[in-house]
Amino acid sequence: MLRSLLFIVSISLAGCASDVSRMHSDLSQALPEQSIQTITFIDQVTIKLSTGYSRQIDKGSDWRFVGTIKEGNVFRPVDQIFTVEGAHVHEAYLTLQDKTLVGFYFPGENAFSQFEPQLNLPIKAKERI
Amino acid sequence: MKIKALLFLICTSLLAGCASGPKYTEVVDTFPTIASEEGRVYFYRSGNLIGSGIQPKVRLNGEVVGQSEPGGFFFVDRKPGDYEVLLSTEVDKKLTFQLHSGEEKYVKMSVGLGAIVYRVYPELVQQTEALKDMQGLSFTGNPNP
Repeated sequence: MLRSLLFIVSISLAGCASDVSRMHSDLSQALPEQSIQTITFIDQVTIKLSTGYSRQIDKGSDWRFVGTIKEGNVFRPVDQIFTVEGAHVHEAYLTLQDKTLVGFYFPGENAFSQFEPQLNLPIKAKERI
Repeated sequence: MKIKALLFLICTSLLAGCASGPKYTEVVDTFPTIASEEGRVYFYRSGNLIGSGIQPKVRLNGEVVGQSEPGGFFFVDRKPGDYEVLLSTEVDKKLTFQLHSGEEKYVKMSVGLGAIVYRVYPELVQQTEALKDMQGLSFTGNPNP
């Protein structure tokens, strides 16, 4: 009986991804002259999330600077959608320190999710950063 | 004869789960333009019959704005801001995003196998993918949201 119950519970849990840990974070919006700052990926990147999901960023994709949070600079995808997924799905922007991905900013929740281990990204400035 | 009757029964049972209404291509030109200071959120689900019996209500910031019907799509216009889509099936699956003025967001509702029954998941997709997906779908919403 106990074995059957454990089996059912383990099967149920197998279908459930963990929630994405995040904390409140306020975005300081970029000034109009700063919002032209854009980065371009010079290579494709696959980001493996701790929730088990992964996300791919294509070579040639552009990301525009939208502001800063205390954890870093925040870049929004241009003409694309980017999400982070765990138990739920969150629209996400990249949070960078120089060329290092330190986490994600969730615009719909005013929240930051740390990414570990930090990842150096193959990016270059399209405009002035 | 019995086989034909059985096939007819199976087909009608399957089709009963699908959305009915005018096709996207028939109504897209009649949709109102987005009012200034508003954005538009499209919701759609493919006509895949797997899990078609699972048709959860679609909640946007707690408000029921429609139902997830296989083969159907609809849209709502809302003020810019932070939004949460909730589809409650075997488990709650949420999607959060930000909507800007004049922006169109596309929420695809997909069916996946849960621990016991099928679940319907919301995901945010790009416009190009959504427009391609919605071509053959039926409009199930209010033409003046």
